[in-house]
This record gives sequence, structure tokens and C-alpha cells, in this order.
Amino acid sequence: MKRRMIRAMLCGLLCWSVPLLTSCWDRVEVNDIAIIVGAGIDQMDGKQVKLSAEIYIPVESTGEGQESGMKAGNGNGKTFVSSAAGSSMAEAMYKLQERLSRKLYWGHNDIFVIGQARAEHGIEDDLDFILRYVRMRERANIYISEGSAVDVLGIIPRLEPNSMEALSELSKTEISITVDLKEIIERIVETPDETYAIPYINRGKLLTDVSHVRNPNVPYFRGMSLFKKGKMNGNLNSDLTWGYFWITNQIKGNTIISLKMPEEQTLAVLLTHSKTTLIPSITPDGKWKMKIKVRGEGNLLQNTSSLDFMNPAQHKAMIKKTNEEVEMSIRQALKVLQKKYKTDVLDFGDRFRKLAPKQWQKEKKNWSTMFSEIETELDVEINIQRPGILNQNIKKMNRVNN
Amino acid sequence: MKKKISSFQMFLLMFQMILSSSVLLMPSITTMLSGKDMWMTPIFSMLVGYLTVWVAFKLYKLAPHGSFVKLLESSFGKVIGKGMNILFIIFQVHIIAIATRDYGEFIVTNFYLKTPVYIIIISMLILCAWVVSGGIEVLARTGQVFIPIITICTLFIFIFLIPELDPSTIFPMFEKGAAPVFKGSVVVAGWFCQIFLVIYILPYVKQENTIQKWGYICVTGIGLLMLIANITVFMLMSESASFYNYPVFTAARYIAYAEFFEHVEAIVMMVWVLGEFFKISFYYFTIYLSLSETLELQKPVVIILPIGLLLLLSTFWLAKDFQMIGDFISKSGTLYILTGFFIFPLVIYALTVIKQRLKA
Repeated sequence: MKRRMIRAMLCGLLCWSVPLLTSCWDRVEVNDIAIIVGAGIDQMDGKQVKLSAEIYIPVESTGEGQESGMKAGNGNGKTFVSSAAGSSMAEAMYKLQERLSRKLYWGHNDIFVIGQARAEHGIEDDLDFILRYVRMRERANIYISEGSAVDVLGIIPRLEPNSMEALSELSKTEISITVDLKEIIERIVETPDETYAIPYINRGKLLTDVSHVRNPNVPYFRGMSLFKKGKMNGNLNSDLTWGYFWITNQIKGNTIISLKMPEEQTLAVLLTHSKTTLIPSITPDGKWKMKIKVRGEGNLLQNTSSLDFMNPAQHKAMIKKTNEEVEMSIRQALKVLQKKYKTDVLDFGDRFRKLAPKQWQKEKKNWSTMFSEIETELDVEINIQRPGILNQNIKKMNRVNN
Repeated sequence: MKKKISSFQMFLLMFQMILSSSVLLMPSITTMLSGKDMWMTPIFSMLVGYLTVWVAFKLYKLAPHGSFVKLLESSFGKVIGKGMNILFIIFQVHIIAIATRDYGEFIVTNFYLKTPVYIIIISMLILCAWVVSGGIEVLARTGQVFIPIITICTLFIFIFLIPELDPSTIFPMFEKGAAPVFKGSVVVAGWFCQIFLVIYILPYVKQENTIQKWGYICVTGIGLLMLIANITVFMLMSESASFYNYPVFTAARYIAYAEFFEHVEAIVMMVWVLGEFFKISFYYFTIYLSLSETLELQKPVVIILPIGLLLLLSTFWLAKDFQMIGDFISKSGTLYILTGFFIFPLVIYALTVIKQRLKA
């Protein structure tokens, strides 16, 4: 009797578990969601913010007519862009949802592009929403775009399936870097003036005359934009960005250093490896000093200069020239960051915090001024190890034979 | 009373009982209190753990038939003893109700956004009630199967994060002196002291001579895993860890390899659900056991479901929203739990020993 009771109970329990296991409330079917692969944030007139989402089209569209009514990108791409404005990101998202038949799904979003106007206005509101909303991912990369973000999202590049892919692939190359949400929130917490740098991009069309460029529809990396207290306060152009990369040890292998040579000579070095160390020190009379030590190795890539790689003295001169070139770009970047923007995106603060925690606590309140007055000392040594296939330069070959 | 479980099974149960909620919540609270030195908080708190295990074992040796309930009654008289037992049971109900609610809130916040929180809590409590009615042996064997899996999964999350870590973030050490570390350690001690509940299952352990050894191993193991969790989280997100409610969950979301090995946070959910299952079941069992002993019931099984109902209602009585739970866990709750699971046993032990000395 008792056994039968238990069996009946177990059966009941089993049946009862069926409706529970489906998790009815949060059931989401794949064909009910609109997968967002990239998002753009733009400033609109009068405190409004525009949220644009690049949405993946699950079935390859056969005709462009299907996309009517949406702010469509190029018809042959597999994504389209839809946007809506609101007084905050949350409201903009709600309005964007109203325009779509499917539920917005943020789980696969890897890219946030923020328009320059929005960045200058301040991005703290947007970051709060992005980080608070549980469906977002901390690994998503952030970019600042020249002009409006929606234009960058609308790009249908030739080499990659959509603009989000194009951007993330672009970031892997040696000329660019990635900055994700986690890094930004870390820097907001750790730096006294909330200073950080975000890659700055624009679309090819703005850069050059369309008729001369085969592939205008790609995002281009244009440098870094600097942020202080949640607002964008300036830009580093491509040249200054080199200096920034050198100081922060973000130079990747395969970087080419092209030297400025007199007359028509050329000399270029392909970097194979480099390391930058920052050595902070406080002098007895209370001056804060930072030594920037760069060590690297490279191979000769091009040489039509008067310098001969195989000649010991001239090889040394060649190395000296390379070092000077690197020092120059570091100096320029330092000058702009320290004097013009007074924005510590170089992690100097953290180094001093580790060196002298007590003094740091006192000085961090007026870190911006302190930072601009830090004395820097450069120590660059880049060795040129191999000449490549040729051991002589073309202009000299003839003379050697005679 | 039958001897049913081995001391290794006891070790596993206690190990998971403490780790389940701590790994997910602790890094955030300790970062808030101890800043850059948060990673060393478990080391100091382990001392509290060792001491609690020692007291629990001593009390068990003193107790008639090894029952803590009977010990209170014999030392302080029937009426006062029973009163203390009831108070201690209510205390346990309070603690586990908070933990259960926190479990529900985590699932609802991060995964089941639209599912009502009571559905999640009720289904968990039904499962726990079933296990408790099966007895300690069933719980121990379930633990033997699942706890190694949980532990390995947790460790995998931390191993996958190794390439993202920056060891230099933990410097400078003792930036603001030793006081913040102490503050953080007290909170972590609030988790360690819960190991006192082991006293209720000690009468069931077969090999009495290895209990203490496994107890100390257990505290060491918990301390190590907490240390790994703390270091990984801090090296990954440094001081921003205090701004995430569940830093380990966020860390798991950050794992990405070769552009396709991503979205592994579901592992955290599995670990959390299984871990909390053991924690809730264990508390459920101790409440059930001590209540039935205090009331001297002939057929204790009948009170299992009423206890479940009490737990369910308490989860909603005790906290209205996440703010109340979070505030309780990181502030007043620590001293409260230490009073119950650390100071109370110590006082009982001291009084019992003094009383026996006076008699002799």
C-alpha cells in the first residue's frame, strides 16, 4: 500500500515537472529575436540620444524591397541598421523595439560606436546603461567615430560580411588596438580624473575622394580619442598615436618604422619585437620623474640611404637614427598629452601609486597638474638585426662592381 | 543513531555548504572593504574556520550521544535549553532564508528575467525537502556525485581567465595599512563560521578519529578556493570588482577564446544552482533534525513540509528587495552570523567546561 502511494506520488511529481522544465516565462525562440551585432550612439538636438542597432538578417534577402520602412544599409549585406531617438539610452532602446517585429537581443553585440558629438557631450549616461543592462557583454569593444556613428554602422565593407566584423578585424592589425567595456570601467575607477583613450575611427568616404579610392566603404583607424571625466576632450592623430603606443607598450610586432631622411633617401625598419617599461622615481627634492625605457629589435625593410648595413660604424648610425625617430614620436605624444590636454592615459598615475602609495594619496587630488609637470627621460634602444635578402643598397651595387 | 556517512562525505558537504554562496558574492564585498588587499582576506579568516571546527568537535565530544540539542538541555536545564535550541533554530532559518532569497535574486537578475522569483525558490525548496526526507545518507551521496563536478567547473572558469590577468594590479600591498584587510576578513569569517553546523551531522560520521583532520582540510580547501577566486577576480578587473554584484559571473562572461569559445556563463549558473542546492538542503536538514529533537517527536518526517513552508515565507518576510539583502550581507549580517555561529558556541563551550569543573 505504502509503496503504491510513493509510486503515485513520484508519477505526479514527474508530470508536474513537465510544465516547470519548459521555463515558460523566459522561453525565447531563435526566430523571435533580432540579433544585434553592433550598436551606435549619437547625440541628437536638445539632449536627445539616438541609438542605432546593426541587426543580423537571418535569411538572405532576395530583394531590397523587403527592407523598405527601415533605415536600410546596402541591400546585399546581411545586416541592416535601424535607429530610434529618446531622452536616454533606455528610452531609445524601448522606441527602437517598437519599430521591430522581433525582440532585440543584445547577447551577441560586440561593438559600440559612439559619435563624436555624443562623446564630447559625455558618455557616462550611456556607459551606465550599457553596464547595468544584464544582456550586455563586458567584452564589447568601444569606438569613437568622426561624424555620426550610424554612418559607420551602415558601412557594408567589401572584405568582411558586415561593419562589426570589419571593425573587430581592423583592431587586430598593428595599427590599431581594442578597448573594451571592462577596461574602461577599470580606468574610471582607478584613475583620479577618469582618464582613458578609445580608438577613433571614421568611414573611408570622409577620408578621401571616392573616385580615387577603390574601397571607400571601410572604417579607418584615425588615432585615439582622449576622455577626461566622462567627456571627450581631444584627439591624438595617427602620428601622435604612435607615440602613445610606444609609451604604453602597445606596439605590436610587424610595425614599420619609416625614418625621415634627408633628400630622396629612404630607410625603413620592420619591428619584430619591442618592450616598453616605465620606471617612476621621486627625486630627493620632491620632483616626480618618469623614465621611459624602450627595448626593441627589428629588421631592415628598405634602405636607399647613404648608410651601409654591413659597415659597423654606419650600422650604428642607422640604429641611432631609428632610436631618434622613436624618441621623437614619444616626445611629441608626451608634449601633447602633458601640456595640451593634461590627460593621463599613459598609466603614469598607477606607477607612482605603486612606487609611493602615501604621497600618491596626497597628490592624486590635483593629478592633472602634477601629470603635466612630470619630467620624462627617454632611453630607447632598437637594434637592427638583419638586413633582409639584399646586403647592399640598390644605388650602390653598380659602384661596387666597377 | 546509525553511523551512516564517512568523514570524506562530511568534508565534501561542508566544503560546498560554505563555498556555494561565498565565491559568487565575496569578491565584490571584500573589494569594497579591503581595496587592493582583498585577495588576502581568506587567509586571516581561515583562523576563525579552524577554531570553529575545533569548538564543534569539542562540543560534540562533551554532548550526550553527540547531540548538540541534548547538550544544551543537559547543561542549562530543560526549559532554558529548549529555549536556546528554538532560538538557534530560528537563527538558522533566518540565515538560510537570506541565502535562498539571494539565490533566487541571482537567477532572476541574470537568467530568468521574467520568471517570478517565488517559482525559482519553490522548486528549489521542493527538491531540498525531498532530499531531506531521504536523510543525511542521500544528501551525502548526492554530494559525492556532484560536488567534485562543481569544484572542477569553478576551477575551469578561473583557469580560462589566466591569459587575461594582470598580476601587477595587486600592488601596492597594504596601501591603507592593515585595517581594511581586517574589515574584509571579518566578512569572510562570516562564511567560515557557518562550518559550525557540522556538529549536527557529526553523530552520523562513521570514523570518529578522522573527523578533526577532515574538518581542518575542509577549512584549508575552502580558504584556497576563495583565495583563487579573489585573486582571479581582482587581477581581472582590479578595483572595479566592487561595482559588480556578482564579479565571478561577470568574469566568466569575459571568457572568450578564438572567437567561438564564448558565453560560458551558463557554467556559473549550473555551479550556483547545484551549490545552493547543497547549502539549502544542509541547513534544511539541520533545522529539521534539531527541531525534531527539541520537540522530541515520534515521527519527525511530518515536519519536513511545514519547515519548507516556513523557509519559503521567511525568504519574503526578511527582505523586500535586493537592496535589503545586499545591505544585510555586507553590513549587519556579518556580526549577526558571527555571533550565532562563532561566539555562541564558544560561550556554550566555556560554560559547559566551567560547569563540569565545578561539579568535579
